[in-house]
Amino acid sequence: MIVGKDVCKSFEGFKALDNASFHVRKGSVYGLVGPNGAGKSTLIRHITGVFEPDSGSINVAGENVFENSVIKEKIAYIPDDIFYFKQASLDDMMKYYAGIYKNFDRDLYEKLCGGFPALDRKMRVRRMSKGMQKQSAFLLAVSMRPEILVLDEPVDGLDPVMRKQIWNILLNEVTKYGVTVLVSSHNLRELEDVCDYVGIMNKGKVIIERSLAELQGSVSKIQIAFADEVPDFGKYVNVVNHSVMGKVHTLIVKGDSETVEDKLMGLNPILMDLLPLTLEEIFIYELGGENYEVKDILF
Amino acid sequence: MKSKISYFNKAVFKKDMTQFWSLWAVEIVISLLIFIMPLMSSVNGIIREYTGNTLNARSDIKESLISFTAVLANPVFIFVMAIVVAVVVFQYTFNSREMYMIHSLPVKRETLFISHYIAGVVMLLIPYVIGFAGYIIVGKMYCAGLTISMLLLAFEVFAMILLFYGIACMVVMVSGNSMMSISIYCVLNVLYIGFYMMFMSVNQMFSYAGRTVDMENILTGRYAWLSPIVFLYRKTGFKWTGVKRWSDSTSLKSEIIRWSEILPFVCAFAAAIIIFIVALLLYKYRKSETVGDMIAFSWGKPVYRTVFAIAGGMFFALISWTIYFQQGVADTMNGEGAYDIERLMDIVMLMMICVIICYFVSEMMLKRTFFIWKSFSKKNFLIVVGGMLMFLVLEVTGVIGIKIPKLNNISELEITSENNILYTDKDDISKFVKLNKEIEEKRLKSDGDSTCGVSFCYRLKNGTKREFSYELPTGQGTISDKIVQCANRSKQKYEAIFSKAYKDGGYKLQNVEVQDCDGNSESTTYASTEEAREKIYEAVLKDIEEGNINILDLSYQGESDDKRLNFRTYVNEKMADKYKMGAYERKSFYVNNKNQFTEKKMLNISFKAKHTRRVIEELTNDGKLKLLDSKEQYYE
Repeated sequence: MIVGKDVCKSFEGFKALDNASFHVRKGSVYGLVGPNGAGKSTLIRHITGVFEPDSGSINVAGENVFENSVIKEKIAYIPDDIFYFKQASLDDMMKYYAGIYKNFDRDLYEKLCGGFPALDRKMRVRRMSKGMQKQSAFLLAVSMRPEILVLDEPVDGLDPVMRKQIWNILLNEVTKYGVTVLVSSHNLRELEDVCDYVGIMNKGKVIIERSLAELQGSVSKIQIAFADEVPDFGKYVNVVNHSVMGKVHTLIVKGDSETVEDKLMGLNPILMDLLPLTLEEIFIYELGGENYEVKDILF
Repeated sequence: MKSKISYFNKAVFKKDMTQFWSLWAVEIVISLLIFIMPLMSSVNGIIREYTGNTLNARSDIKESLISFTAVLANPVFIFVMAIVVAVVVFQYTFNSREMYMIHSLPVKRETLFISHYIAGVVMLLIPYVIGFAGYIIVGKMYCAGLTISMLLLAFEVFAMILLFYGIACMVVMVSGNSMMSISIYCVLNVLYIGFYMMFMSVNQMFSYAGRTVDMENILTGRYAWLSPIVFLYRKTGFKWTGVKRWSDSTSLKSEIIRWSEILPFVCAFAAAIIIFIVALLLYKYRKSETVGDMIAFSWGKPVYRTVFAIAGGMFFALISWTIYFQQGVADTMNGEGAYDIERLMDIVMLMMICVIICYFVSEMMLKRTFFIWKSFSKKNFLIVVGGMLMFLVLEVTGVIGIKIPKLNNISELEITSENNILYTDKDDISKFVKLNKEIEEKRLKSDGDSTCGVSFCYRLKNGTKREFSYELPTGQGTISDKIVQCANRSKQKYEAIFSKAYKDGGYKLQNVEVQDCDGNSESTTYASTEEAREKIYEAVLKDIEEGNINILDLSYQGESDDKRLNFRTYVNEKMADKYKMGAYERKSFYVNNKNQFTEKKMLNISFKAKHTRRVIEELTNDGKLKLLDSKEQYYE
């Protein structure tokens, strides 16, 4: 759905994007992760048609997005720092967007507003709390009936309850209408519950891009203990990492988790547990040997 | 809600009109206060004066309406409001959050620009719609013959609105900062005239000749339109074609619109369209990331840097010098009747220092930081500063600068001192040109207090003018003496006093005044009969022949009993054509109450002019010289 190929962008000599390439599939939730200054917001502004790349291309639904009002109709964008017109209420903003976006659904807007009774539609949006402003942005974005939702740090600064609410709305859209979502964050842990794909950015490049399902199925964390002799695990499974605490061995193993489990059971351990891996751990071990300081990036 | 026209978005337009309602609300108040209420007050006052008899009051009401339309059509108000409205409707280009939001919308840039532009035009029109509505109502109620004139006036105002607003929008597209936009807009509107004046001042500095900056020449010159606010203010003001024609209107014939009347405003319209297209293209190709930059286009930065450094440097150097020395640079150079070359290096150094400072200031403004030392380009710096230095060197050495024109290009030469003499004869002109060149080459220094002022004003065939003024030493053998002798020997010496037609049978010496040289106008007498005039005329001719009178008096310091003769000669159009009198000559004629051209010439008479003195004494004794009474009709 969204394909970026070798995108470069410089600002007065500073290279903000350095041959960044990525692919967001239709109907998926793509998480764009990276530290501050990695180029996430810059890349997002290219995707939403605000910036034009110096070189490379960004295509949405097969077409160049810059100055393409037909494609932009399909995109709803919520930036990290949301802008509202001075003196404008939520309803005023709704009327403005309804005049711009052909597919704006006023009925959906009314329905969504009903789900947030705390939101005062007549109140100036700028006077609302940050959380309410973000809620308002989501209401408006979803009411545009977009095919693509681009969110730049959408839950940054929100409390857990609000975050849950926002994610619920998003996932509902994805499930019901097959909306493609691109969400950026500097916190990988936050995205692991919602994303199908994750891309990690650093210094203007997308250094790794993976499907979470693939990742989670291909790496396992196992705690295992033996009464007597400890076998050589490497002969049976592909061990990426091995740590020992007393008699308990903690293994990070690459390969299909069922197969790995079966093989290790065959060694007759007294204890064996399959533990959940965080996305962060998956990436660290996935990148093992590629010399990227992913740990530094992700922190 | 969606407009069918693809280049106009109703939502964007409506947003501007609702979001900035306070702006056009203020405009409505201003239009009421400035346009409507004063007019209503005046009209009511007139009607009261005529005790309610509106029929009799019509003429006065018409006069009042005419005078108030000058306020309605004053370009200064439009000039100010245009930039205010442009900065307001395009304010999102100064703010990154808003800019990114707007540019992420599914609206093409052309559509955005045109929608905002139209919103701005509507806002600017509001006060004028109210103003014109009020004036038309008053006109319909009390005056006649109004419609065409008012429509013409409306057309002219609309042209100015589009022109100034177009320039303002163009400037806003070039700069990403509101204050910079306003500054560039103001400077752009006076740039040509301002730069011309500064250039003339600098040129004056380096030339030996004093040269007054001829404002009239600049303001009416061929390229004065490059400073639109100044040009249009002079073009309109109280001479609005729409108003003028109405005030002259006595018949239906005046309702026909003449092309020459509306041409300046048709040109303004055409310019406005071109500027609109330029502004649109600038917006289309402007990068969103330049929001907040002083200059949004990379090609604009060296232009800005160069103009700011050179124009700013020259301006501050001239101002600083004037403030410090309490006089202009040229006056300081020519302070004691002599050209002070030693001071020249002082002003050159001051100018270079100011240019360097202004260069760094421009860099600081562009980069929005004081700390530019690490990143500033030495190459650019050397180009700008080096260029300025080269310019000054060329001025000092005389390679560039305003020079004495070539003989072939000169149409007329006017020498001015106590009196003015106009020369059109090529031989006469070539002699004076030689003397002028000698003055320039020698840069003569005065030894004492005895100096005289003289100026050579060349009118060229291309319609332009060059003037060279000097303070010259006086005395026998000096250059000023040479000029006097040259004037006395010139072929046009009699024309200088009596005009070209003096030999013509139809020539008429209309009036001769005899004045004391102490300027006491109470004792001024005039020759009351034709015979008296002829006698004085013949005596003056004789004295000129014998060299008793100087045609050109450069160092005239009259004795107490010296006289001044003022000749008024009558020359009609036919004679002016016959003697091929140029435009300037004709322009200098005074049109008397009988619509006749009369030319005034002045001549100083010392004791040496024995024949003329004798005749004056005789005529005085005979009572033929009468005291000048302002009530007497001394024009025939």
